[in-house]
Amino acid sequence: MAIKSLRLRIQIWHAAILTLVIVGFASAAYWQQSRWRMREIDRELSSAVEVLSSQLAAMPVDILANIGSGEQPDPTNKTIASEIWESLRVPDTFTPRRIRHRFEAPYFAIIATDGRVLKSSTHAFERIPPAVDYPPQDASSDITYRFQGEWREAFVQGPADSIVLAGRYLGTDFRDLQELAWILSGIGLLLLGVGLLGGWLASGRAVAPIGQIAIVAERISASQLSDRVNAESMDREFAGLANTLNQTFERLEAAFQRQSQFTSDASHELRTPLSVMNMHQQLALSKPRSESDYRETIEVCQRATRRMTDLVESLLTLARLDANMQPNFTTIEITETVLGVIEELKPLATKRALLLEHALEQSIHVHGDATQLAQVIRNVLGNAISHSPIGETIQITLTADGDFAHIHIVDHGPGIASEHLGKIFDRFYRIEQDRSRSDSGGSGLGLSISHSIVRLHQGTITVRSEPGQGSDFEIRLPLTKPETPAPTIPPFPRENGG
Amino acid sequence: MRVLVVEDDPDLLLGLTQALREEGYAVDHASEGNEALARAMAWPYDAIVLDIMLPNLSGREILRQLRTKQSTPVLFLTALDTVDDRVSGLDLGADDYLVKPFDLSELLARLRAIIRRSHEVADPIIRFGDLAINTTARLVTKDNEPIELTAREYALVELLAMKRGRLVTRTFIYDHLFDENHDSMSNLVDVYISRIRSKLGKDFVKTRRGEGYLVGN
Repeated sequence: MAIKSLRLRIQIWHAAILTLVIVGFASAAYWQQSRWRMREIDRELSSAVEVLSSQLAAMPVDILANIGSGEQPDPTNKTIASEIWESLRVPDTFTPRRIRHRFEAPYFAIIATDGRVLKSSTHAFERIPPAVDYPPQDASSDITYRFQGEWREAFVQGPADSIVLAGRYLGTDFRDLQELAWILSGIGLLLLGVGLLGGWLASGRAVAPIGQIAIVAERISASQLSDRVNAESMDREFAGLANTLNQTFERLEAAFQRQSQFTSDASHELRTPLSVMNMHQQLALSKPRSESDYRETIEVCQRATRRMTDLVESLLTLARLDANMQPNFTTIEITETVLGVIEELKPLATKRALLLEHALEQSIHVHGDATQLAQVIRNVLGNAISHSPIGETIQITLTADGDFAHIHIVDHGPGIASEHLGKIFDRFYRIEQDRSRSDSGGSGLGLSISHSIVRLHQGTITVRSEPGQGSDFEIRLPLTKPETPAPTIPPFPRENGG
Repeated sequence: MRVLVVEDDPDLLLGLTQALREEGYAVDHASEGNEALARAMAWPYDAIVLDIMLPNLSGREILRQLRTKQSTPVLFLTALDTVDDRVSGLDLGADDYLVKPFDLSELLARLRAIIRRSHEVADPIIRFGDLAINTTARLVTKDNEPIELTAREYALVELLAMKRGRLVTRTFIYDHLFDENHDSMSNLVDVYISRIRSKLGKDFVKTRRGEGYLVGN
């Protein structure tokens, strides 16, 4: 099962690494120490063996001859030679400290080739095992070392074919090493404990900002979106995270605000026609009325219903566009579409004595939905018609250059002040704060819908306007290249000229 | 009672005007901010029904400017329904706040309430001896017997009753009884005064020659 706590996981890793380091260090120290100790012992043994050999080599010839024949000098015959033989022993420096038992003392032996022990330190016999594998068979002129149980022995080919051997009990050294092991283990455990505690505290401090961020994030998502994680007091690593979170919250808040603005705008747009209907129905029912009064009430209600229907349709269109559905994208001749809308709106323009001038390039093809694109032209041209002073001219041009078709709809109306330019494609945005549809008509969604449609077609819609001079709306749509499908262009940033 | 209705939706404005006139109010209307402010400043209306989102000048701005000069009762009638909108509307000095879509009867009741309050009348039934003027039912009774009054006659009775104990000039009555669509007819007020005298009794209205009329003490 995976461990879910980051802190615990850090701690476990920390513990594992710490343990590895401490054990490694202690083992190395122990190994080094034991090796050093063994070398020391071997050096002692070798010097003992060498001293013995050289002493032996310095013996009078008869003794050496005796050794060769395997005889021991008679101890009772106190000759100088036997005195010398008797005094044969290892140097004092050879005796280690801390000997608990006699048999722990170092020993030596001089052994004949046939295995007889010619001379030895006394206790050596007590522990020399049965002669089967003793003496060593492979003595040579080089000093050889071997383990005999808990003893370490060094031997060498001495004078007159004798074997000179020195041995030393290792128990005391083992005890020393064991003590060292205990000390190392103790220190290691202590270090591990301190390290783990420190690590736990440190990891706690390190992950604390995550907890802080989580608390704030929870508070933000629960209630007010305007709250932010305080990134300034955090470490660089967490400040990055906090900043990213803050940016996300900012976008979320903006989206939330847009959404709630949209909802409140939409409900507001529905409230007025609802009020009208409610008002007139209650008024009509409050007392008996004439037939013409009832007719008027019904007409008022019908107007209100139409307004609400238009609004609901627009909202549905927007919802569909938001869902990025690409319903009926085919190759269409945009010239026909534009011309169709111009013909459609001509009566409206004629009513206001407006002249619709158009110069449309022929056979321009774009990839898209003819109905939707017609709606864009209708919205923009409709606005131009309703905002143009009576008797003015509106120019509509369609050109193509390189990759794009350009549709310009230029009016000579009142124009749009620069503070509105950036917002006219926003949903429900109206230049007049009145929201009255008495003259301009529409739900306040027309340009927003147009914007969404054009974006769906991977084109752009921009406006250049000068108050008092009129407005120039440009719709730019990617051209269809024969044989090649429409390129996928990433969503474009909104542009607003002027 | 003369009220000003400010609403930019023509259908709604029409309905409101008609409904209030049928209730006996003299109604002036405006559909745009500047006109509304000019009217509100020029006349001491008994109440103003004010939309917030208006062309040229918002209802909030109208109220803000109006409150520096006039204490006319104002009822916001708006589609802005959030608590913030209502709180800020009332804090600007509005006397009431009603959200669209609204019920006509509620609007009328609230309008009556703010007018009563502005005249410091708490009881919707105003009594003068054996006369009882029920401002809710818009009915006058004498010894519990209802008296038949036209809407305008009732409006005059109510106006005088609200102004009880104070001298009311003929111009004041004219201004508060008739809207701007009426041509000035100087004796119209006298005609209505004599009509209600004949229906409610001579003692209801006292005439102060050259000054005006007085109801109550």
